[in-house]
Amino acid sequence: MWIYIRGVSVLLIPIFLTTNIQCQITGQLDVDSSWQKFVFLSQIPSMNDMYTMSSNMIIDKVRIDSQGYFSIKTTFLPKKDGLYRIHLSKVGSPPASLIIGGQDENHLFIMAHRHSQFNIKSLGRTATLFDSLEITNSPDNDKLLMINKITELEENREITGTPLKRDLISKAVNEKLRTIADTSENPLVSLYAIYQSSFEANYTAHREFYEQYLQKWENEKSLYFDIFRKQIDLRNPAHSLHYVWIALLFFGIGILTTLYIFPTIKRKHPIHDLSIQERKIFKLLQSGKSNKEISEECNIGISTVKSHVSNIYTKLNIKSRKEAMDINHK
Amino acid sequence: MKTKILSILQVSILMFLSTLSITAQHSSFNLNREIQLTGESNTFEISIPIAPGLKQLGITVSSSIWQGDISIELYDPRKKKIGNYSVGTQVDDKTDPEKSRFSKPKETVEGRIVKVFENPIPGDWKVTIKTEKSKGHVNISTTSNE
Repeated sequence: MWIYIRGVSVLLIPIFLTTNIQCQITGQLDVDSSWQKFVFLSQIPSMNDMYTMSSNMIIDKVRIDSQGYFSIKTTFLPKKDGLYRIHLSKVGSPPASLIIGGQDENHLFIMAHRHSQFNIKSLGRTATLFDSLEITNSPDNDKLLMINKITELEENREITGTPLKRDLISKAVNEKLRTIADTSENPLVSLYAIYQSSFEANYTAHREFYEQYLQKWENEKSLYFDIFRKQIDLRNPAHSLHYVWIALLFFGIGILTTLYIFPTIKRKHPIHDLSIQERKIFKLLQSGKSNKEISEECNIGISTVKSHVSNIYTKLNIKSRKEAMDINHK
Repeated sequence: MKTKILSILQVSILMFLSTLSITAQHSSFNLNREIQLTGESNTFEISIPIAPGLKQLGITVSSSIWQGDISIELYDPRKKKIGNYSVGTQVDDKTDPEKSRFSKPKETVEGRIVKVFENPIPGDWKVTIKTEKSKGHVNISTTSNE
């Protein structure tokens, strides 16, 4: 029995160890002395937060050795693919520092999950840290690199010239990114391409594309897509039309209320404004009694009756006994 | 007489050099502006007027905050967003390093965006800064060549 257990253990332990060791992102970067020797891994909760930096986004910190090697374990990551950012900080800068553009650009976006295992390798000394890379064992991350390269074309100073030429390049780049988004099998890669294609500026011109795109990925359940759907919905003129219809509905209700309900309330209102004594006198007025008769019936002086009648006229906005008799106080 | 000629020559050289430096300033302009954030929520808009014929425009916006959040957006004269970033702190830090040299903020967050444009579109380029109870500073600098 013991021999059997030992045999199984001997077989299982290496498998367990190998599985855990393999779930990691490894890499080698050409880091000079101006950089801190740490790699930070940040979780990007939505594509809108790609250029957001705060300490709570940083989920791991690993050391870079003297040869530029580093490794980040992925076993604590969610099972599903997510977007992450790898970045380094300059010496003297805090861990939460983001540099976009220029020679000190300090970050790279990657996709990873719990079982990710791939390698990032710098292809020699380049102008920036992540300028020239090779990612092995992850076709999806390779695609992200390709998307980055295409996006960079728009800002490449060597090929951009006049504003008109720049517009044409920009259109071509966005078209290419939309094609990648359309043909990519991985939803996150596809959405990454969409966000890089400055979809907010191009939505109106390519609305049909975005509507079909949403239909294609309608079953994709992820926060990235939920946020994208909301953004598209807000830009959709049909969405604005809903608000117009709702506003019109309330406008109609308002008109009906003004025409039928308020007048009813108003008709009742003046009678309700009369005091008990005034109502009693008003009834006597309607029955055609004179001031003297009212005075005798209510057991009050004529001057008091006159004062009550004057108040009734004012409150009911009438000028004569005849008008008082015409009012239907029911 | 000799001294008089020398002093005239000196003044002439000085005037010549001054003219040269003014001409050089004309061919390029550099904006350098620092905004101190003192914990208020606000939106600033900085305009960078660009004249026609400029060969190159470089815009750098950097920020360092130890309290609150800040968002930076860059727009070209056609109101197209050309870049953005936001940074935020998590710790509600009351430390103000500018008031006391011994106090050090618990958490600092930095952001920087660098953009260079060849033949920039003439007009008003804009940098918008939205602050949410932010303490720290923002630097905007531009470089240009005619």
